[in-house]
Amino acid sequence: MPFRALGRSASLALIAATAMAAAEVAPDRADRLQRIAEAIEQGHGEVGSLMFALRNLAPTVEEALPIYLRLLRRESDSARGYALLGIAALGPRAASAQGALVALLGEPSASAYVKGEALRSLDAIASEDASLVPVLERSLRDVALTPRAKAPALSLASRLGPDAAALAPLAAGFLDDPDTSVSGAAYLAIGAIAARRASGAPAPGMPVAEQYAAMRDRAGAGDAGAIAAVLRDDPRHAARACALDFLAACATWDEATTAAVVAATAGDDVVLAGCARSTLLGESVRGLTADRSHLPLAPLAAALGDAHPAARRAAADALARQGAAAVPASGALRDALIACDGRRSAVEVLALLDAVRAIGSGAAPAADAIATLLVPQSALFTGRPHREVQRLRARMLATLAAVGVPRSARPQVLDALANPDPVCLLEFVGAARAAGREGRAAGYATPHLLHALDSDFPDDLAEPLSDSPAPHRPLRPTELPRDAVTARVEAIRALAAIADPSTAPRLREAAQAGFANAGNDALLRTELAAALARLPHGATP
Amino acid sequence: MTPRPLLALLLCACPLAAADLQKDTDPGAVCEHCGPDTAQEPGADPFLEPDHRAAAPLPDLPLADSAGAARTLGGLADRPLAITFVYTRCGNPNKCPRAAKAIAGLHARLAAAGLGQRVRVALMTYDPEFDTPERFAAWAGTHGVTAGDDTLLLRPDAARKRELFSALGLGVNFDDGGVNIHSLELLLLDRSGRIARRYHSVIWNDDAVVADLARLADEAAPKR
Repeated sequence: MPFRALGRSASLALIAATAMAAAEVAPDRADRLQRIAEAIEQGHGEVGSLMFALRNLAPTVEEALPIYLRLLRRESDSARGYALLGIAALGPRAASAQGALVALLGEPSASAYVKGEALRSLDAIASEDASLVPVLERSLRDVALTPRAKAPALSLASRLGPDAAALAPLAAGFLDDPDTSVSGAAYLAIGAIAARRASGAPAPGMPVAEQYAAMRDRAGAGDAGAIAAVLRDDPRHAARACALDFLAACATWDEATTAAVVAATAGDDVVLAGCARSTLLGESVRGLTADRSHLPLAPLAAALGDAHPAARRAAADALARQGAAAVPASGALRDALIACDGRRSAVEVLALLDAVRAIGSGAAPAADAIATLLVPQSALFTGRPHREVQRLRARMLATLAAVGVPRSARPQVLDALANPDPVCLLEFVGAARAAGREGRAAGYATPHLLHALDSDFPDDLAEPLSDSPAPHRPLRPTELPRDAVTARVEAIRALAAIADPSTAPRLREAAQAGFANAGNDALLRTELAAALARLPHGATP
Repeated sequence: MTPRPLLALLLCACPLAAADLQKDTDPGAVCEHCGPDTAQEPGADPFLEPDHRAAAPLPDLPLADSAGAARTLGGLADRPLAITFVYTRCGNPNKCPRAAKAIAGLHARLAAAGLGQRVRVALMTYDPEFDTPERFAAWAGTHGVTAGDDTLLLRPDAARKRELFSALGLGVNFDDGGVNIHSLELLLLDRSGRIARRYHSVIWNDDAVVADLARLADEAAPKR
């Protein structure tokens, strides 16, 4: 839906997925939890690493929450950011953290970043405690917070309903905000605060509270047509955006409704047009179409060139969900990638890459575009911070590994493997996967992949928490979780795919010696054994 | 070792081509056994024969050497030039520091091969705004590179560096703070200031580069 903070949802989903994947309980689990808690208590260790280790243990609320609360007492924005992200991921189960969050919001020295994240976490807890009203009022008046940061406060006001009546005048001040996530939240808050039943059909120009209630009732009855009238004829931005939100919740649309949404996609209000496209092409279409193969590829492909970032992103996400069935959109994805320069958000570029990756081998045209964009002088990288460039290139290489590696990309694969940045091995990981995809043709990569077996190779996680608020710090080998897929693991997998008989002695030597200082030694040995087993007959004793 | 078999080795990894190494191989030719795609070493572009090089020399954009003297690539074309690109703020020890050390090693190899007075090697900074002559020279010195008649430390004009790097086809990009990504590259320029070969992605093979430079030094001097 247009009002949702998609990026945030993705982060929380990532955390949840990580925790579920690590559900296997290690025998020394309690001991490891204890050590993490002690490290947090004593201020030892890098918080990001500790949080990763914690998530791998799939902690219960009772285990995790005290750790998060301890982190909140630190003064570091980074530490607090991790804690707030964790609390938000727990959602309503973290209700007991409400007091700490309220205290944080009242702390004069807390940064705007921390306060914004605290509001998000408070919103995620989904409290309906009326005592929050003064806290929300203070936050909505806080000049240090951006309107986007205040949106969760408006969302909380919606949840409180009539109890938040004191906030209605403040919410009204956001109705004209150009950011629909803000103006929409304000509209919803005012509507929920009024909370009376509609006396009739929603009509353009009605008072917000009345119109909201009427649209809510009609959405509940599945009457999209009545809501479409607001979208079609109401001059107010937030009212129309909210109508789009309610329309997305309607199970069926009649032709007039579809026409109204389509018309909104081409309106002068570019933000609303983006929302309309999102509604039309994203969530609502997915909701309306049980069989995803019937999703309209042509409009999705066309939307990749939309003027509004939200629409482009929604289209890329929708294509990614179709997987290989989106092959006909490969050309449009290629064009969209070529159109990306340094001003295009990394999130959007990553969404395009994910769509290409989901198509897989059928996306050859897009693979050629990616190879072109990979060169350092590409406009895609101009003006971006160094670490963002590394993250993008890593994902581009990993995408090529899924699609196929054009020969024109080989110099970039080679460069990433031969000159790894010890502080950030993501490009090395992407290149190792790409080389593995090439199989026996990637003999050029072999000597550089073998360097990963050296004892002084600065191994690190293959997929650090790129959505974390703090820069990633490489883990020490001993800190690596036992099941950690690392750059070294990826290199061994690539060597297995290349299956060069000349690598046998080095692989065997590494398998025998092991990596005593690495936490994932057992996994490394398993991978080495698998690599040796794949060598042609005669290469191993 | 004569240059041509070595070049053929560099240009083709096809085992079936081994027998051809004894022939008078055209280094730019495509391997008849394995086709066009594998005829090129991933870490080096083909050596370009004089007729295949750019018709015009590189633009004469302003440079300064470590003594502050004005230079241009065209003005240095009295000898073949091997040039690589670095910057002192590079945070990746596997890139710029290694490239600088490799240039020091190449310089020693050229001297041993008797080419010291016939060719030049150079380091050029991507980052002249930060790399003052003193800072650049000190950094190069820590990696074994000392400026001299046959070893240059070059700084492009900050206002025109992107133009120069673009003309050279370098893999480098920038953000507001400076370099945000770069490749590892060694360019060999002939005595007309034209690119004859580009080594990239990995530290070059000194044997191959010495052979290339010997070949360039033996080429007829351009008419001026």
